[in-house]
Amino acid sequence: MEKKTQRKLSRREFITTGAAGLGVAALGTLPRQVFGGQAPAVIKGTKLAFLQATYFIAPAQDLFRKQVEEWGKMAGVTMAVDFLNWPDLQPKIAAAVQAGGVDIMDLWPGWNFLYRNSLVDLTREAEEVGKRGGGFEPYVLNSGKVGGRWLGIPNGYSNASMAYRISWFKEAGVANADDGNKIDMTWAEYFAVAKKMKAKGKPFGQALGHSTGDPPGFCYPYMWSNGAMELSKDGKSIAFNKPEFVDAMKKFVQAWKDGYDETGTSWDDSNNNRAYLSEQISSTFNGSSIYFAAKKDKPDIAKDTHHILIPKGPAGRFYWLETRTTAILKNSKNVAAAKEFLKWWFQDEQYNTWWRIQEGYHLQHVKKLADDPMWFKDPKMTPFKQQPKYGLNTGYAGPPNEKAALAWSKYIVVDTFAKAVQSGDAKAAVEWGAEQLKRAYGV
Amino acid sequence: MVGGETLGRRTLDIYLPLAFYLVFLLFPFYWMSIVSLKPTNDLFEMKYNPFWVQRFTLENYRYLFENTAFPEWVKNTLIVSVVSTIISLVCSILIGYALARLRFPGSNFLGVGIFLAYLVPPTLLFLPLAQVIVKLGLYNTYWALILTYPTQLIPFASWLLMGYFRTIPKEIEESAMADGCSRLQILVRIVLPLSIPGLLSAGIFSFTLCWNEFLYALIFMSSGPMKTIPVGVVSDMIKADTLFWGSLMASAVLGSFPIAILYSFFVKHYVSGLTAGAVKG
Repeated sequence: MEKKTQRKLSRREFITTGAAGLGVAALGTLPRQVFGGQAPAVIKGTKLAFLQATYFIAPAQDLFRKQVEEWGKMAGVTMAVDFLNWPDLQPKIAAAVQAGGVDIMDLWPGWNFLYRNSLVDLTREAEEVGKRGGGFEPYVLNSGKVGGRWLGIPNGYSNASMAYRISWFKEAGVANADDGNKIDMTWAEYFAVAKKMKAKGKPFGQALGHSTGDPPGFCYPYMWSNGAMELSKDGKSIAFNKPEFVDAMKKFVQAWKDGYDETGTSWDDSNNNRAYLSEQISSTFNGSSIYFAAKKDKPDIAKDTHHILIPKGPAGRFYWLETRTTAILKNSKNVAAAKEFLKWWFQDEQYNTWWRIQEGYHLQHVKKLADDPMWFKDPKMTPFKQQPKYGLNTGYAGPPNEKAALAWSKYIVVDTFAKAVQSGDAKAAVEWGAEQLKRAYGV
Repeated sequence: MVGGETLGRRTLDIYLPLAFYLVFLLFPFYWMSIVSLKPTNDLFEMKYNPFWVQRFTLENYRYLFENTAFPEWVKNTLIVSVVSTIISLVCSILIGYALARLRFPGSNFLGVGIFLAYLVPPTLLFLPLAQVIVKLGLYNTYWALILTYPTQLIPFASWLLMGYFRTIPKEIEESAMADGCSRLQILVRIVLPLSIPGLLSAGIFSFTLCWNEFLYALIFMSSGPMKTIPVGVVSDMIKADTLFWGSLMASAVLGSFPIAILYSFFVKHYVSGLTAGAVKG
């Protein structure tokens, strides 16, 4: 690459590069490396279609669209961006993999493994991004590479933690309830508060339905923090049906009766938001969307809301955390332009602006942003800042791969919890989960 | 007389069950309407009666028209639904009439084959169809849906019309033939005017299916302003785990209007059209 950029330019190349450079200078925002040293004439007049999930933080979606349009104008590429509801992304991606029609797409954790044969190798581009940012966060390194290669550039992941009502936690006698950053709870302590709150008519809420965010976000960490995991460290056996986890599941079943809204088995990602904002529950595991929505529509609730880190168990504290990646499809007719766009968008000027505007809703992908001033604007968002250091991947203690993605998409771990609270038989539920995992992993 | 002669008996046998069904069927529309007329704050306010509007607002409708491409979505849905319905009806009339009246080798097999095609779920078809659409260069154009919707509409509409055509006495057609009409003339001048209820049923069914269709619209035509109502609503009013209930319900109310109007005008014909083939005359 270096060789290519340093070679002498022909007269034609000089003119086209110069013209593009003048245009760029006129716009005033394009970094020098934007086209990776290649003349934009290579990609000029082409088209790029981009597929992303809809944003909870609307200004970030608007900004992204603007950035895409801006680059399109500068590079002479016609850009189309499509934002879809989260659950609708996968059928669209599956069709694009088969038939084309989309060039760049935002992949959810695990999908980089599922579509590995259809994605362009972006190792060089991703390594550059990581290097520039002082290295990727460990959770990104755990989950972003497929067989040692980056098949997409990691862009981070949306956050989650325990939202709670300050005044009600005070009533329940929780010390330092005013400041969630000073609260460090175990699961037993958290369940004890739930019991008190349910007695007061304000139970905790937890979604245990088939939904992509909150149910696995809660169940996997609870499993890990109580000593169980999907696979053993050598990857040869299932380490799910462990006596300590069966005990922990019994405690969860009891806590569900004593402290939770028991309709949670049918909840999806949106139900706990609604229950919290309508003041039916006092705490729940969720992204910061509850807090942001309250700031907009229910300022009193926002004022009375704080966050704590997910509770810890005997084995420690964990979050299910894997990165989303921005990938290029191999069947794209415009891989060169897609690469140029990604190189430009992952520059600090673009990416960091986009990331900061989300005010902590989206976790950083590189270490340099871990102490970014954005994190210190609102102390109620500080628990989210700490999340990356506790991140584990699906399939742990094995590596993330297609089998882990399959087990995740079948909701085996989540269904184990749902079966346990529905039947009241923790042991049978964990045995069922272990059997299902055995089939999914083929061990 | 159904339900007896006394008022009390009629109330018990007719009016009470009718009232129950009325509430049962209209409640979703009532709920959609009141939620669309409430400010977001009130939707989460448990102190208010959820079945009534405390503070009236048109903000959700304003959002729909000013902050989303809702009028575009309506236009797209209308174009796709109307054209697909017309194409499907024309094809179904020809297929239905041929299967009902013409005797040719393999006609029974063809009839069963068409019906079996209806049983193939769109979730199996969307991937191969996506390849066809992209290869033909129809991706993100009206034609992508106009050409794929009939694959679902024609089989059902053909069977419905075939059943209806069979209820028309053959003697009428034979008389027309004796008077010198060709097959096509019989179809256009005799059979179709007698089949208006059947045609309306097939038309309403096809239009409704197109209007509400989601999967193909999501896969083949969902970029920017090319969305249809079902796709536009979920992609612009559901943001991650947060649903914009007021605007969602406003779009559901407005999106239901064309179908409701269509049904209310033709309900009598629709029912007779659907049931005509059920009992052999």
